[in-house]
Amino acid sequence: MATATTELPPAAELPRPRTLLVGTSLALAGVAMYFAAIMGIYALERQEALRSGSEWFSPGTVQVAPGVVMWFTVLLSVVTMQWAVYALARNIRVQAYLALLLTLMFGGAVINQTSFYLTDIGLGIGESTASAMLFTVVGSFLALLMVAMLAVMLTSVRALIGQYSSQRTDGVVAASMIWYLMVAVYTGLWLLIFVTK
Amino acid sequence: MTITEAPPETATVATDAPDPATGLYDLVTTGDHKKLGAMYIGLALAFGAALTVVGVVVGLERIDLASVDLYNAFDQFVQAWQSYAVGLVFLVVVPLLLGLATAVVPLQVGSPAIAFPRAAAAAFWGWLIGGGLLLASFIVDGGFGTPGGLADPEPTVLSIVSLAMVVISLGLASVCVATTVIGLRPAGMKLHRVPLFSWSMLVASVIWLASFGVLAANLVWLYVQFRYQYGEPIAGTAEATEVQPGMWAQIQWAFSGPQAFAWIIPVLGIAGETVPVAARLRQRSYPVLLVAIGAFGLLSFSAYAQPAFSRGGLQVTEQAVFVGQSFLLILPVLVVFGALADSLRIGARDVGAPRSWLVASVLGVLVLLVGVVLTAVRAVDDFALVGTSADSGTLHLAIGAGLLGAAGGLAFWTPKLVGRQLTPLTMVGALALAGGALAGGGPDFISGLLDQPFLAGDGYIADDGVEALNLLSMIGSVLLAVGVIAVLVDVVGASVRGRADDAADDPWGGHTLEWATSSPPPPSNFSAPVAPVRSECPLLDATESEPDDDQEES
Repeated sequence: MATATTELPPAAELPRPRTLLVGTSLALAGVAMYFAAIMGIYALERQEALRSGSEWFSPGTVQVAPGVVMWFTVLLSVVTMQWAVYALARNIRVQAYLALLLTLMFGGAVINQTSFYLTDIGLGIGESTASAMLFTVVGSFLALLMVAMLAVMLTSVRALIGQYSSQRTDGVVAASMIWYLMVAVYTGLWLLIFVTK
Repeated sequence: MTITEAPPETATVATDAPDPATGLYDLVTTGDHKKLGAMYIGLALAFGAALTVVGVVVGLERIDLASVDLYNAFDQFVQAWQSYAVGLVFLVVVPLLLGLATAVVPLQVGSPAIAFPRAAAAAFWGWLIGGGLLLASFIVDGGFGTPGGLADPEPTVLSIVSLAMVVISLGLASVCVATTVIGLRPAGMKLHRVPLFSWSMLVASVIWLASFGVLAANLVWLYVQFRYQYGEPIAGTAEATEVQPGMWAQIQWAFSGPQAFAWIIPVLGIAGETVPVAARLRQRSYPVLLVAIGAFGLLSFSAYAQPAFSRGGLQVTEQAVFVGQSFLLILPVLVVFGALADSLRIGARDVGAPRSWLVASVLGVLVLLVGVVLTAVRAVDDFALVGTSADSGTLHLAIGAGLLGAAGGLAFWTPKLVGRQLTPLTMVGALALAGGALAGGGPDFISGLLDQPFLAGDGYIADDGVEALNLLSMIGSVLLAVGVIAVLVDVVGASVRGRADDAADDPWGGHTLEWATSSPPPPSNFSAPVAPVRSECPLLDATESEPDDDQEES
């Protein structure tokens, strides 16, 4: 029996994957400038307060330990986020779903830790310039974290219904870019608030 | 002329496409970049007409500095001035240029649509709602803090929040435009072959995004301070926290110095498009122009020029970086001006009767050049011009240059977008805008040399001649208002009348891809895929290759 070889038709042209990544990069550049500016204002206000002889936070208000725990949580989420990208690019879908779920869980944990911490220190937002700055910077970070979680959720749903696969990973890569920026922002915030106090 | 490769079946599909839905529903839900661009342009010009009239009233008040006559209090005068400055930048000039880019850039880069059309639509509606709220907040006694702290707190919060909404929306629109330039170009259109207007929009979008990020951070911080600290006792004292007087200082960087010119980067690109078309030649030193526009964008970014950076006894405006930047800003404008003047000189015989688009765009660059030179002078510490009316003078020139560039762009591309040329009314408008910018900005700058403070009034004893200069500045504001209204009337008139019977697809002999499609363009912009691009002037390439093709055939 002769074996007939069937030549497959050429694959359809993919939608431009660069567009989403380019757009995300540009938007993230704007977001990065926002955080650079708000952290710059924080640093300058703190410097001014210390220069004038007043204290920034009362001793014991800001402790390193909670900040370190939160920082390690967001660092772990980098691993799971990259795992999701890796798994989806290789069509290991179960792993991709698991990784996305874990990433979301870490995000939720950071929100939980932050809200507990802000309640625990017992500062009012209008109490002093330091507390107003703390709430502004941390609040902005939480907003970014929620946007990143929304992007990951959207990616998960789209991956579940088959829109993302090894052939098309731009959505999950874009979500990961937002996530990594969030982690970078937290690292800066950790240094600024918890390390320098 | 071979610009589009038209397989018959593709062309048929495009021609047979159903007419798009019309009416209010379509307007609200549209993601068509041409409609979004038209809405930006129309509304920005309408905002412009209203705000330039506010500028006239502010100018009238400044004629007599001894007393406050037209407003109930000096604080109200300050609020009116703030609405004028903030509104003209973020509700008129930036959206006007963004609107033009939203409509034209996808056509220039041969794309069937703008990148992220739904995001572009969301950006437009966000801008419109935010802009409406911003104006409303000023009407109900809001603003960005006044010297006497008399502004009503709740409308002030509304001003902060609505400006943040405007800024975020404009940022989103910038992302869409920049992504279109980077990601949706046809084969062969490398970045160094991108049309100058698209290139200038890419540069502007990146600089705007960076600036909007910083401005948003300032606004969030102002909001927190104002909402939670204003009126609260300062720790250890019985005094209440005063936030209002310092509010404007926190965001003033966006309206003075080199940053005021960051909002009008595309003016250079518009002139770079129109001059070679008028001169009927390829622009020489094209890469130099690309670099010059990029350098202008980089040098105009001065979001760091905030009071917080003025510590250690040295104001930020006295620091070497700021002064150097203010001086270096002149260089790229001179390079662009020189290159365009060279084109006009070489093609002088072909220019013919001056067209409104050529006059407006060239005058835009000239006013911009005057503006950056005066900005450099302002940076010289010995003149002590920072904090004087020279600040409003340079802002006036920047706004004037932006409006002139936009008027030039509108006169140039309206025949493409609606299929009808603008009338000589736009020429009148352009001349009024140029007169208004120079008459408004120049006298303010000179009165700054005579030590008139940034916002003088309420008993200020002026030097001799300052009030006469203020009168001249007010006449400049009147001319600016006349110019904006003239352009608005002409653009709306052309849009309402629609496509002319004798409309040509390429009435000016354009060089770039937008002129290869019909006027107005079909819903998907091009009725066939765009052929690979071989230079920055694809239409000239096609025209120049035609005789060769004919020879080969014969």
